[in-house]
Amino acid sequence: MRIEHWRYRIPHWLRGLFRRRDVERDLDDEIRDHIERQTAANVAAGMSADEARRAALVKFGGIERIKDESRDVRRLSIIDSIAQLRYAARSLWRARTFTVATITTIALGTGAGCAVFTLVNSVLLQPLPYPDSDRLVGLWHAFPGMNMPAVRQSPGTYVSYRTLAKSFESVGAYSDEISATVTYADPGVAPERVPMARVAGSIFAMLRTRPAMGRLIVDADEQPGAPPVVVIGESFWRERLNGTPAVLGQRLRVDGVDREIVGVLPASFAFPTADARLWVPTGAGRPVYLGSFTFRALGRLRPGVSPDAAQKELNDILTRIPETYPEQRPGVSTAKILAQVKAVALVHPMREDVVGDFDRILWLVAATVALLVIVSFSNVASLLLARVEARRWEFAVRSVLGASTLRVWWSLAAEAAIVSVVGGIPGLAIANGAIEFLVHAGPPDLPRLNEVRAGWPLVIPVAGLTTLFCVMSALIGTWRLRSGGTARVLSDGGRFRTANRASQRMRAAFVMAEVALALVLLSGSAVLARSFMRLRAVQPGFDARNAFTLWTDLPGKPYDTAAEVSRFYTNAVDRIAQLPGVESVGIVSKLPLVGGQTMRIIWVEGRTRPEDPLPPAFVVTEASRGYFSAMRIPLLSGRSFDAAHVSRGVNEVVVSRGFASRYWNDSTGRQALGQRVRPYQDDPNWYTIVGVVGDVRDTSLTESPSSMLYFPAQAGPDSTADWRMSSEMAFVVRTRGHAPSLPAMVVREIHALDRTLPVYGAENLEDTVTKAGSRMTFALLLLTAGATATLALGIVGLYGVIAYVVGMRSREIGIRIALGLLPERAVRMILRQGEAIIVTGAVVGLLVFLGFAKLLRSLAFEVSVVDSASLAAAGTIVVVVASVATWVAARGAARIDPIEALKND
Amino acid sequence: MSRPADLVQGTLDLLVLKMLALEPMNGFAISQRLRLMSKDVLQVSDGSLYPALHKLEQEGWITAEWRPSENNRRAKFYSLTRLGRRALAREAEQWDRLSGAISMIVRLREA
Repeated sequence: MRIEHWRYRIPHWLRGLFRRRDVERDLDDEIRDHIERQTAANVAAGMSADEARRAALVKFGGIERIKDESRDVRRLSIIDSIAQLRYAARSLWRARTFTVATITTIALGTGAGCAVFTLVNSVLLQPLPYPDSDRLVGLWHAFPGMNMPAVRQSPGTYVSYRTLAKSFESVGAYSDEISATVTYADPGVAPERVPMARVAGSIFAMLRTRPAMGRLIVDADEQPGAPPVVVIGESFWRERLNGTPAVLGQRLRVDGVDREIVGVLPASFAFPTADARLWVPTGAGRPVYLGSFTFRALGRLRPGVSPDAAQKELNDILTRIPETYPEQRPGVSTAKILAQVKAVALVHPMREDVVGDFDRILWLVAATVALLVIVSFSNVASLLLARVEARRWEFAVRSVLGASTLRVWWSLAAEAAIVSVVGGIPGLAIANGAIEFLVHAGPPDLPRLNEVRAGWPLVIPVAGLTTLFCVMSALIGTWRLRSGGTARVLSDGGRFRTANRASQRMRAAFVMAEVALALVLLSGSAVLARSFMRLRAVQPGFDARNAFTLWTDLPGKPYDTAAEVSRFYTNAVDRIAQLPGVESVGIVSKLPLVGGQTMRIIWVEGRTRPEDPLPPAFVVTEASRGYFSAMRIPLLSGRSFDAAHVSRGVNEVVVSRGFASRYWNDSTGRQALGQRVRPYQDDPNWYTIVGVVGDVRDTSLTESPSSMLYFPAQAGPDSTADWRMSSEMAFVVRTRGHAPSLPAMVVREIHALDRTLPVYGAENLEDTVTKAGSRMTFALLLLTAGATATLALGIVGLYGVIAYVVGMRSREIGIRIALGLLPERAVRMILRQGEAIIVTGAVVGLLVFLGFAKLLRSLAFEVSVVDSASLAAAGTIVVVVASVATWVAARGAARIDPIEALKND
Repeated sequence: MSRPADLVQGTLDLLVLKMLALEPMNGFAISQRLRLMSKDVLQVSDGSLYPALHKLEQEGWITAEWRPSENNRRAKFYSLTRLGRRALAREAEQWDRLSGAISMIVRLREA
């Protein structure tokens, strides 16, 4: 079918539909003209006028009937299409295997393709939901000298960049992932922990945010001495404050400070994270020292300034920072520190901050699904080719009997349209279901999922992909029909089935490609499945069974002395330990696999000298004596802390095996005992190593265990070191067997001591581990599902192609059998020829997989990508499946009755 | 009879296309010419030509334009399109093969 044809056809068709009266008039005029001319000719031949006219009418035939036939011709396009659709539906119904295979393929292809397209589009491609979001950038540092690629802002760097950099319209500081204790005026309502963010006033202006009510934080709120304010989120307003407009001007007690509620943010506002519900000013005054790098900053570039140019300017400012802030903290030279860590400033699009490393996983999923769509296309193509080939004779006969090429094409197009539409509808459902699943069942930390929309917006990509399927099918059909030519088919008498060498080679290539693709996919799936199993079996370094954790936070009053804090924790731990079913209990400032780590540069006595380059930093946490037994972190040598649960002035430290073996090269840790360490410049005291414990996966399940130091839990405002723990602490409670009622009892015990304390985040340790693995599990599950579906389709396609190739030879086989070849030998012959192609395909697939192995390596978790055993298994499976398909098809071909095969010749 | 039942559908199309390849003409002229050229062998009523013409027009093989006739009424003149020219070549070739094959079979039977 040519476009040119439609140039004529469509106007005619539209005219017949909408300008029927004109069409009728034209018909009348044309016939009258004919009659008049004939009459004139008759008169010229000597007839009388009446006679001439009568003769002309007779000669013309029944005018009305002819008009009807003409109308039929015009209407043909519509009625014919309907008739063709019915014919196509009938013929599809007869070929049910073909139809089901094609429809399933199209449904899977469009469903998976559109779901992932939508996901990639809304998470990675769509701009962030802020005006001119391409000019929003994150401001970061890197300390290559300490092997730290992403370092935040310090008060000194932030103020310098904010006041000096000309690349930005504005710069704003914020901190995320913090929470605050909210105490309600009603004493009957328990205080609770609420996700909060500290944001500079400039942030809201930068994001062009408008309040749902009241006002937002402004620069004046940041000034020292400004009255404390808070902005609340819409959900908090509705759920906790009854959603009344009267909240504006009311006070809310946040972390012990009465703050005035000045505004409400709309529910759609998701900065810095989607779960933030309170926003307070950063309250940063003008710094005297450079300070530590603890908070984030966002900037809006001036129009036309590139992130690279801004980054260059920030680095210029960074080199001059020691002039403004000569000391990082009292007694520490800024210039020396910055030089030692090799500090550089970084500017990158805000989207990277929001999406994080999720893009890598998403692109891999997208690549897998792209492969799935390609396999779907090739499946539909090969299935359709087989069908056209099988019906070639029918088409040739129909076209000789008067059906125009157009009509034959129409019947193919109608079939393509039916399978595409019928496949597209479940495809839409699959896409919708997949997105609903991803949004609701996906791990909560996936970014921007709140922006992904299922439902009606999916119709467009699904319809687009379905149309593509339809057009491709119709084009392939036409191409195959054309390439044969009716005359040749007829003059061949159907012998075209014993195909020539060139087309045989092409078909062999097709089978080879399918085999190769199946092998690549199977090998890839094997790597993913092995990673998945490996991930399930990973040991976190502690025993997650029969233990739970919950958090509490001590407000400033009455817990403003170390003695008060210590008394509280000692009492609480003792009371919890008395509960029936409790085996052991401990407290810790940070749980493994949860939250951000604190890292400190550690000096080791006798190993680190002041003139040396900066020693490495390690993860530090604070724990009580019972923590290790409650977590069942094995004590390798020495002992836990001597002191009770919370203490001051105990200069003991417990280190992990990783730390011990790094300095003393001794896996038992015995040599580490008695050595002394201290946090660099933060604490004047030396701490003696009293115990070495096993390593724990502290950041995530997939990253290797961190080398850690556990300092004694030492809470309180008058503790000597300012780097020490926050007021938040987690209780770890190990139970004897399953004890579902214990968490509530622990909460009661804590409230018995102080009913104004927030107790929150109760969670089984097993759930903590599951959650930590959920992102990786989710990605692997997604990829494995995608690869498996693609593989399944690939096998269907492989079978389709082989059946097609063998079917093409059925006549040849019939002839051979007629000439005396035994059917078993015929099967063996086909199998032998097929085997050569299949094995070649498998080898090609292996080479392709090895070529792409590097891509998979980033996702493989503790398994080698090129693993000879699983590659051999994958190769065997693919070769066996392909051989079985060949065998089934060959048996069908060999069963052909030779008489039947030859009769038509 | 209005339908040329004894005439393979494609054949009438072929003849009409062939004629319009020579020059644009109206339906009346085509029917006259058809009669003349086939030496009255093809007994077709004049009217049955029109559905065929309209079909070819739908296919885009011929196109029509209205011109004033001698007595100042509208007359429809058909001419061949580029598509039609290609179709003509194709159909003619096919006809050659088919008729060759048929005449061969007919002769075989006689022998």
